[in-house]
Amino acid sequence: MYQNFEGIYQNLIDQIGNLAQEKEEYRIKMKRVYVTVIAIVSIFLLIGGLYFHGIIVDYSQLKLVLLVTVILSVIALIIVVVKAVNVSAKFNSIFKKQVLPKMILNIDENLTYKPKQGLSEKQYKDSDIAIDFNTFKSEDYISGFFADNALLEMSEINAQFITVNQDGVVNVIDSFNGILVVATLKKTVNNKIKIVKNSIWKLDRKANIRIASLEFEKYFDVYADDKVQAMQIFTSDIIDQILYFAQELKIKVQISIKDNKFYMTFETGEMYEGGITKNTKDLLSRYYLVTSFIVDIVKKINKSIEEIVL
Amino acid sequence: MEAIYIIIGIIVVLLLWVIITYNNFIIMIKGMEQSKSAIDVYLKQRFDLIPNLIECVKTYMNYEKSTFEKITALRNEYNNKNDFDTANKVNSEYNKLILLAEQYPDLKTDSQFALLQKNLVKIESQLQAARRIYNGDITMYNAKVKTIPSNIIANIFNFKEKDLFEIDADESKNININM
Repeated sequence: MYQNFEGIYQNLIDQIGNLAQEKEEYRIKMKRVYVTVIAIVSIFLLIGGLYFHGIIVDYSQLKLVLLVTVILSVIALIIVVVKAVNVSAKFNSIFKKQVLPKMILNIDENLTYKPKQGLSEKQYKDSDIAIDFNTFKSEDYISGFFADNALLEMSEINAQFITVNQDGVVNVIDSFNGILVVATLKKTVNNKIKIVKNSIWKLDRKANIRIASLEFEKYFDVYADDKVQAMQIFTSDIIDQILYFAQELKIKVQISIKDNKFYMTFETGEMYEGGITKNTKDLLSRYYLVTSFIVDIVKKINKSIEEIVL
Repeated sequence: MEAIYIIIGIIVVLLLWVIITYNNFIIMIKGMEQSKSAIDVYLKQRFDLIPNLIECVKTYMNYEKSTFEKITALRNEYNNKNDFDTANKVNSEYNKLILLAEQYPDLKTDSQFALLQKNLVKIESQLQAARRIYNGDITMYNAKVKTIPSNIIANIFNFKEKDLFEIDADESKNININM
């Protein structure tokens, strides 16, 4: 699975070429911004020099020169920065309209990508692995139906806890920034299963399951009402894949199964953004890894559940 | 005077640590007993299918009566002893019989045998899951027995390492059966 990225990347070569053009354009625009800033600083230094060397003697004359210089500088800066920002926006637009949809389609032909849509706050709360928040944003929605109408939905979410104290100071805490996955299972599981971050203080000692892997126990705690069924669903290779994400990619993963819904959260930070200053191949590789892992895990979980006679 | 209080404080903390660690060992042992009992349940369910299996195969296979008696006797021995060594012996004979039975095309189409196989697959999946849970408990317990500082308590109170439970999958071995 993970070796297919090179093939997918080669399929995107035309679109990557378009991105490369915008990157070059951006590099030129940013150069102009730096040159403009240096020029402005030089002009102010020159004016200062002229004043201190007595060439400009009148203080009101100085103020006038400074005022004009400041206005012109601000206008010049706005122009060059806006041009650079426009290029960055165009880059992101190409990334989201051309590159990402094709990459996602290559991962699985059933998947579609909608950059401006997202999962709902209710879906996040229903997962039982949501962290406290009072502000919620969601975008970059990916969805698809697999065999027997099992629906997979995922999107980037940004949940924050924002408070304002008596002095009007705003305090923003990032509760969660990453991917939320909501998959409808083919069968209803009469069991509540959670795989969460390892902690000394166990949520429920009675429901805590020991996996025969000390490595896995370092990162995760597993809880289930029906422990045997939970182990039937989470086979050894699924456990190894989850561990790979925690160990190798250093991404925090949490999983919850409730009724006929399978939830996963990946604390990836920002996802599915172009990043004009970043290496496009590295970014795409990371998005590919996370997305294809999600699709693979959901298919495997559905298969596990189907094989267990319920 | 202050020194006495410090010494008493240290002794109290040490005592608390001993009590907590000892209790954790007991809790782990109870947990292991619980997960072992789940394995016993699924092993018994599996071995309870033996009479059905014998009924299915003896019509199709020329099998010596003593072989059937051997597996039935081992099953009865497991029901009395409930130990993993006997379970593995029963399982070994059981797997041989299943493998041989699967080589008879007529037997494969038998509806009773098909139902038996379906039940076997279900129980096998549950058994493997129960085994993983049990081995997980054992692994954690063994780690506590060997690592510092809990190994001090383990040595004092004679908590010893336990073996993992591995149930044989004999499909790959050569089978020598008296026909």
